[in-house]
Amino acid sequence: MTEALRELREQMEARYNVTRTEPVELGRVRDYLLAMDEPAEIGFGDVVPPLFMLTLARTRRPQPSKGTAVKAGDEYEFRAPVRVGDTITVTQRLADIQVKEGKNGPMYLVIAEGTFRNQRGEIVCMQRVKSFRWGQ
Amino acid sequence: MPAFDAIKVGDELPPLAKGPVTRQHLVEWCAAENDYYYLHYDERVAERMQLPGTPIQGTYKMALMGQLVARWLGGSGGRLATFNVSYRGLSLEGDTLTCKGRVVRCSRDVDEGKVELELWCENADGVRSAIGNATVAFPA
Repeated sequence: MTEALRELREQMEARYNVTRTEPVELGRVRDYLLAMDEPAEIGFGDVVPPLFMLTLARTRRPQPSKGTAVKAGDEYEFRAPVRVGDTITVTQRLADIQVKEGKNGPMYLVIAEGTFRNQRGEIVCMQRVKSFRWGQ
Repeated sequence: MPAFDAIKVGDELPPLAKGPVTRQHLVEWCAAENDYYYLHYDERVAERMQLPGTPIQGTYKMALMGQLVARWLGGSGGRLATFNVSYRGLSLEGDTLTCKGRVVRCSRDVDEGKVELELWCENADGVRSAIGNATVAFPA
């Protein structure tokens, strides 16, 4: 393992090996719907759009990191409906870092996985996020 | 609003056009997804990264592709079960995006009917900047 890869792994473990709990807030769901140009006709207890899950456990402010990153892909499996007022706990972990040789040095495909559980402990969603990073 | 039995392989979803996507949309999406990565609203950052403009968030394109499926489903009782997106290229502020999809497989078992969809998001020039697939489950 190169020094650059070791550093990246440490950085990504600090970023992804975390558990965050947050409520599904009505205002946040309305913001999501309005950003999609959908009528924000939703109330407490209503089912939220499945992809609203992408907004949970985010860090709001950019996290400092070396190099450049772009998203490569996102994968979701939705197992049960999520409603406004639920509390979701997202457990993320760094799943893999694959090294690919690019024209200007190594490029890394970083894969992280997330498990979303509601307040009853039921898994409602599984997530895999992939990003390319280089210039580490 | 398709009933499961009426869905056939090759059916196309009504396209969803969005745009031109303005700075307003990009900032609203930062709020919606709770991620204010400055690349998406500060062209100085985009210039430093040698990009030709301010890029539209990949997750926004993913959400639009989800909206395409949700509008097609309407109140049919179908439920989004899986959703995968791969980001293939840039879309820039000012671009008009069109999300499209079609049915690639239908199957049925004891518990539910399943429809597999191929999805993509095109920039105004027709380039597919995001591609993906989804599975929708219908109650038997």
